[in-house]
Amino acid sequence: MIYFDNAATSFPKPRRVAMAVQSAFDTYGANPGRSGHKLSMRTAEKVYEARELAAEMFGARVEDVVFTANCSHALNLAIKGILRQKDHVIISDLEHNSVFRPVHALAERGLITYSVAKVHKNPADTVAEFESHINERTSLIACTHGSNVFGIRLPVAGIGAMAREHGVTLLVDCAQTAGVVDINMERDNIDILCTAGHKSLYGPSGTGLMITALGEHMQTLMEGGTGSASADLMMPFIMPDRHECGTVNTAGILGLYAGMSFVREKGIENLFKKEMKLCGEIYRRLGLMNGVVLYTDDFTMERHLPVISFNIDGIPSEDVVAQLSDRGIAVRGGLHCSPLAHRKMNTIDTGTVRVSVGAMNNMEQVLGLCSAVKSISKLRPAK
Amino acid sequence: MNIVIAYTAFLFLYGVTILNRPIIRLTSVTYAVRAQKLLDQYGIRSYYLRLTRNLGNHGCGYGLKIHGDLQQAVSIIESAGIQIVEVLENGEY
Repeated sequence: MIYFDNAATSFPKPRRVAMAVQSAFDTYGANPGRSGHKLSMRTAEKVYEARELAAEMFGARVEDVVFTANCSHALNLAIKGILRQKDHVIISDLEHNSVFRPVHALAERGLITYSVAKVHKNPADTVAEFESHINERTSLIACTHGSNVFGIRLPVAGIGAMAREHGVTLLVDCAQTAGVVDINMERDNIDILCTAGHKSLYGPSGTGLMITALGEHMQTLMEGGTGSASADLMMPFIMPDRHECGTVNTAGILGLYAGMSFVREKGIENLFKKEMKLCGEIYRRLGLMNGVVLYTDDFTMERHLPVISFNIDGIPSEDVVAQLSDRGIAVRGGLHCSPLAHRKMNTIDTGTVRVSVGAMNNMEQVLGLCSAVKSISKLRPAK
Repeated sequence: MNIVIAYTAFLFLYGVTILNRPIIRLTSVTYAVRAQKLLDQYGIRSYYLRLTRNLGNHGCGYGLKIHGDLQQAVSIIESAGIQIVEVLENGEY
């Protein structure tokens, strides 16, 4: 199996992740933060270590790290927690449904309005485009850090600087960038960071993060037990408890810690260089093939991620995916839960074949993929 | 007889030196672990524990039993922006 579906979830995980998950059953089996016995305390310490490492990775305070079930959960906490009635939101035209749907749902209920800003090739144009949508009701810009379909990165630091000038909060969906590119919330002017834990942070599925210093002031999406201030009927105004009710996913969090420690040890910059080199080679080779359509003009370290989309002229994307699967190669077709991005690229009816590179891929696999695509492209119907 | 006296003395000293250490009540287990790590950096030993008294006022909560200078510990914790709910100077929790 050659696995190039890392943008959906990374595979295989580092060995240490499975061992850490197992330790939640063998060693750290108690409920963290609920009881006073030693096993509960030791488990709470392990959860804290994961929180501490996430804070360190993204330049945040440890208490501002909220563990969630996935990135969509984190985004819903953030979007529905920060927005007030009649607020206006700006999203980009590359959003995943995890941003688009909650924003659209609030608008459908008449609670907010929203605009969609076009992402341009020139970062300054993108920042200006976002700024042009700001009005007196705008309270939030919610945008992806990088497209999960086309690998196009947004200039979030620039958008954040502009947003601060207007007193607008910046929420960034880092599902495709956390663990891939260096992110520092303070440096990059990010107010709320949401990400999955199971993609390039190499944690197990069922993990995600919302990180923000604004959490104490946000409305809660869920209410319940926190193990703190329990005599009060209101959810506590302390982080992370305010947004982390119910027993946390200890096994997932310990696995996520192991995944993040893998990224830290390898070095984000090193991983990024390696993955971009492999993905760049795929881009170059596919670009030379007759009948293969690529959707970005170029592939650069500065403006892209190790994610590319393509189609083979005359063959539906899902058929290409099926044929690659028959050859032992895992990629993803269709719309990738991102109809906005596909409308932008005029691929809403066909979808695309997405190739996403991860830390475990190598050049031999790249050559295997390209060879398979070439053989499939030769099967396309004559015009 | 000597064993009884020694054991009684041990219990007395244990009570004075361990059980009666002051406790700083914090808002959650996250802050308790964070504060403990912070104090450790300053050479102040502390242990976090689940608090059992005054539940009607505060609900369930966590505190740090301080083995060192209480005022310094309070100052370090507050300087880090960690909210202290109360200080239980006699160590009863």
